[in-house]
Parts: sequence; C-alpha cells; structure tokens
Amino acid sequence: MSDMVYNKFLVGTAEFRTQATSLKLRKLLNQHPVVSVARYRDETEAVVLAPKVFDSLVQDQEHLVEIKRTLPMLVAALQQGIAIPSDFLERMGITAGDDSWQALNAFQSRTPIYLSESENGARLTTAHLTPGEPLLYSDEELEELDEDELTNVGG
Amino acid sequence: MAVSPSASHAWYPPADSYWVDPAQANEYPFRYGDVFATPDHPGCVTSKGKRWPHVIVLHPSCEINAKSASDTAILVARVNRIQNLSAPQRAVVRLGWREENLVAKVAHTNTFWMPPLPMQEDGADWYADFRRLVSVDPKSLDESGREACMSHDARVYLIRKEMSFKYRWNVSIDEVRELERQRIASDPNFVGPKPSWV
Repeated sequence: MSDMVYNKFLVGTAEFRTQATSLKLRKLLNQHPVVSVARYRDETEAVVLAPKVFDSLVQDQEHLVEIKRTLPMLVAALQQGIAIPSDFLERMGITAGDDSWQALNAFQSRTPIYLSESENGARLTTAHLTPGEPLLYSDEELEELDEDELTNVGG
Repeated sequence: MAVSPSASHAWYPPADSYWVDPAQANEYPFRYGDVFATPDHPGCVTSKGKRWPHVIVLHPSCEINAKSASDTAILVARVNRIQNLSAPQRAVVRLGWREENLVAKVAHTNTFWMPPLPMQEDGADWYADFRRLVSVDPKSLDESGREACMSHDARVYLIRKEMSFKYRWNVSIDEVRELERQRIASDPNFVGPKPSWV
C-alpha cells in the first residue's frame, strides 16, 4: 500500500480555466500532484489528480478490498494457532517493522526456532555426537613423543 | 552450573554474551573465535585489493599459543560489515535462517553473525565468512592485535555453526556445549578463566 501523503494545492476556478491547456496542466500537476479547484475557499468544485496519484489510489483501493476479504480468515487462523507464511503477511502490508540487529538478535535468541530444511532444501536431520576419551598429552609426554607423531596434534 | 536445555535451533546467543569485558580480556589467551585486526598478509584483501576489515580465528581450536599448536599456522576467516549486504540479506544473515512457505530453512550457512566489537563506536554489526580463509603466521596476529575476545558461551555457538557449514551436521547447542565442557574439564593445560558451566 502506498505511503504517500499528498497536500492539496488550491486553485481558483477562473485561474484553473487558464491553466487547463494540456501543456500547462501537465506542468501544474508535476509541481502539485493534487489540485483542488474551488470557486470559493471552502467550496471545492473538483480535485484534479496527476496520473501517478490516481493509479496509486486505485491500487490502494484494490489492496483494501483484499485486506477486508482476508482479515476474518487471518484472525481465525491466529486464534487456532495456525502459522501464516511471512510472504503472505508482507503482501498484506504486515511486516515486523524493526529489522535492526538488536531486534533480530533478541527475537532469535529468545524465541525457540526449529529448522527443518538445509540451505539447498534437504530435510535437516539432527546429529548426535558421542564424546570419546580425549586425546591429550601432558607436557612431559609431549616432550617424549617423536616429532613425526606430533604432526597431527594440536588445537 | 546447570545450563537449561535448549531445543531451539537458534544459531546465535544474545548479543551481550559475545565478548569478554575488555578490562578482563588479558586473563584470556588468544583463542579460537577471537577477532583480530587484519594482519599484514597478501591473502587478507578483497578481489578489488581492499584490506579485510577484521579476521576471526578458526584454527587451532585451542589456545593459539598452546604448546601443541605454537608453531602451527593460524587459520583466519574474513570478517565483513553487515551494512555492505543488501537489506533483505542483512536480516537473513542476522538470523541464519529464512522462512519459505512455512518451512524454516538454514540460510547463509557459511556465515557467523557478530554484534559490534567491545571498543567499536559506530554500533555496526559483523559476520564472519567461512569461505574466505587465509593461513597466517601467529606472530602476524600478535602484531596486528586482538580487538575482541570471544566468550566461552559464544564460542560454543561458533563451533556449532562451523560444524553445520563444514560437515552439514545439525548438532544441538546443548550437545556442543557438553562436548566443550568435557574438553575443557579434562585439559590439564587449559589457560585462563573457565566458563561457569565447566
């Protein structure tokens, strides 16, 4: 949905008539995308919109219709604890808002997350590691060991 | 200390648990996970010849100056600014996963996210890139200097992330911490303060 806020530019009816040639109108709307035409200050006769403003209003209207149609389903899903895909929420204009590192780190470290797929889409399985006896040498043992045997020791 | 079990697959600990307080960092030897100023090494530059911002130590997995590793080359990875990524990428690297059609998938598995370093003033965050590696001489790291000493708590997360990248092993953070606990507890040459969970 568009976040643009337009201020109406007030033009008197008589003056608007002199501006109403194609070239002048285009120039006027370039400078002021929303022009309110009024005989008197409190009596608007027409509002003239730049094409981009009109297109954005139509788009917002369509978006509003979609939200009205989807909202009851969305609320019902939330009440049932059903997960909603994030791209659907983004399409609805519902975003997390704050994606600063502070917000994301706090979220991911406090909210349990269970990953189910690897980066390439393979099912993620959980590995279990069984520790064996650690291979460690004391200082004395290290000195006694042959240099060749130390090749793979360390870290 | 008993650590509460965590079944979550979250890749990263809370930001405030990453770095040892600089006032106490001297008690900790240079070790796996520490962030250094980029050493003077021809490999530590981008393809355009720009010097890497920082490096993180990925090998050896024990103290750098430990007897068994004192003459070993040190493997370091490039540390990049998150700000240099596109906005959608930033969020994914900060989490390490993305959601697609209700499926939570691992994302950018070659990266490890880090908050600002202790003495850093601009508040910008970082990520290590496990694919950009260079072997450097231990002396060159000594000369360049350590900029952040990673806490034992955060190192466990780094080990887990590296295992995920190198071997595609998804091991729980509790298991990795337990293995690290056993390793530290049975190491007679361990230097510096031990974590509370050992």
